[in-house]
Formats: sequence, structure tokens, C-alpha cells
Amino acid sequence: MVTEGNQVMRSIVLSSFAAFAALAAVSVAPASAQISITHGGGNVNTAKGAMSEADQSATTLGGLASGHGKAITNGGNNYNTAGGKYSYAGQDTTTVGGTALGHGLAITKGGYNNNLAKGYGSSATQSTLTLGGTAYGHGKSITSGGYNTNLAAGAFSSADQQVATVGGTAGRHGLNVVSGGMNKNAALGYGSSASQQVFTGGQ
Amino acid sequence: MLRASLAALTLLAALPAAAQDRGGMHMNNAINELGEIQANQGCPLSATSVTVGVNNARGGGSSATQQLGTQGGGSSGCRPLVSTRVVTGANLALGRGSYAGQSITNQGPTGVLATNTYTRGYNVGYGAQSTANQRLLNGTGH
Repeated sequence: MVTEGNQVMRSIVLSSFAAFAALAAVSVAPASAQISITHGGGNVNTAKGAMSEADQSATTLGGLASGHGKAITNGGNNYNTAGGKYSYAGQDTTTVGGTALGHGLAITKGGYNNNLAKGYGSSATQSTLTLGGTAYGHGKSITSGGYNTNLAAGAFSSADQQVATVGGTAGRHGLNVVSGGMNKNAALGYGSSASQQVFTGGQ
Repeated sequence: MLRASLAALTLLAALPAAAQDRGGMHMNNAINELGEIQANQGCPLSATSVTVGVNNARGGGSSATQQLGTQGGGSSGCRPLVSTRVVTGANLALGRGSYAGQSITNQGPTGVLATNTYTRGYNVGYGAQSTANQRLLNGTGH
């Protein structure tokens, strides 16, 4: 149990550090582009062998779109699997993008993440943070962070998933759409445990 | 083992191609964009950076460590119109008790008109008691 606690804490600390670094980098960036596409998702992390360990950290810093700009940020679709007996898989993904000025459109997607502990006594921890989605002027901000799956399928396995998708600020006459639902959390294996935290919201 | 390697190679081949296909310039406001293009004369039209790393620890008890860094493609006074940056990494600990560590950093300028950033990692601890550790950072900002 102590080991599991350490793994979760490491995940949170790594994620927080990455987010801080990301915000610092973005805040000093003077440049802007009219179209900004930031794609940080689609990562695969697998611990397949018995007693194997796989750790993955992916950070993507992106953009600012001005004028009739579009800022598209995709940080989801990540796969984390602890497949081997007593294996451990830990994945941290941080994606920062998405401020659209003028008649801007900011689309932020952080969902469709999969975390699976299927080996006997295995442990899988996944943390996904996606920051995006500010539209000024007659802007539109669309944020989605849902459709996440967290499964502890192996006997005595443990799966822990944290998904945070932060977006959703639209200026005057703006449109702000946020969705974070349709998440699945299940402990299927004998003696297994599954915990899931999903946060989707505005800034 | 072979399937894992093939999947990783497929991933690495597909992503830069997708970036080329989906990146580039889409016209939104022609007058403003033509003005930006004229004001940026003398600077590069585009800057594309693709950083790909493949790191394998195949033998039993083996260790493979890889660090890749890419920086540049413009300067603070002269940015490209379109900036595309791709980072992909495949990190495989295949042997029993093997260790594979990979770190890839890519830092470059934002584009005046468009910035496209793609990052994707494939990290696998395949062998028994193996360890695979991967860190990817893809950033723009000067």
C-alpha cells in the first residue's frame, strides 16, 4: 500500500511540475499565430513483462491564435497498460494550447484516455492534463474531456486515473461549451481496486 | 517482440506524414494574412523540425539510454510564417531485466501565421523485470 501511495504522489507531483513549466513557457511567449494546432495525445505506455515497469511523460506546449484564429488542442487518446504479472505502468501527459483572439475558435480535447491494469497484482497509474480553450471577442470555446476508461481487470490489480481538462472561457457574445461525461471506472478482477477522478471545467 | 518493433516503426513513419498532411496554411482572413506575409519578408516561409528517436534494450540485463535535443528554426527577430514541429519516440525494453531510457526535447519558434505541434510516444517494458522510461517535450515559444 505504501508503494502505491508513492506512485500516485509521484504522478501528481510530476503533473504539477509539468503544468507549471508549461504555463511559465506560454506566459513568456510573445509570438502569436492565426492557426495553432497542438497535438500531444495518442501516447502508448505498456509494461508487458512480469515485474516490468514502464514510465512515460509527454509534455506539449503550443499556441496562441490571433485574428480570426483557431486554436486546436488535442491531449487525449492516451493508453496506459500494466499487462504483466506484478508490473507497473505510469503515464503523465500534459498538453497546453489554445487561446484564440478576435472571432476566435478554441477547441480543446483531453478525453478518450485508457488506463488498464490487467496483470495479476499489477498497478497502472495515468494522469492526463489538458489546458486550452480561451476565446476572446465573439469567440467560441469548446472543451471536452470525457470518455475515459479506467479498469482493474487482473486479480489483485490496481488502476488509478486522473484526467483534468481545463478550458472554457469565452468573451463577450461568446459561446462556451464544456462536456466531460461518459467515463467508465471498473474493478473487475478478484481483489482489485479502481479509482478515477475526472475534472472538466473553465478557467 | 517483433510485433512491438513493427508497431513502433509504423507509428514513427505515420506521424510526420500526418503532420505534413494536416499542417500548413489555411486562409481565414486573406487581407490580414497577406499583410503579415509582406511584413515578414526576408524571413523563412516555413520551418519544419522532425525529431525521431528509437531506443532498444534487447539483450538480457542490457541497458540503453538515448537523449535527443533539437532547437532552432528561427530567431526572435525573424520567425517563419509556418512552424511545424514533430517529436516521436519509441522506447523498448525488450530483454529480460533490461533498461531503456529515452529523453527527447524539441524547442522552436512559433509561426507568424500557423504553428503545428505533434508529439507522440511509444514506451514498452516488454521483457520480464524490464524497465522503460520515456520523457518527451515539444515546445514553441520564441
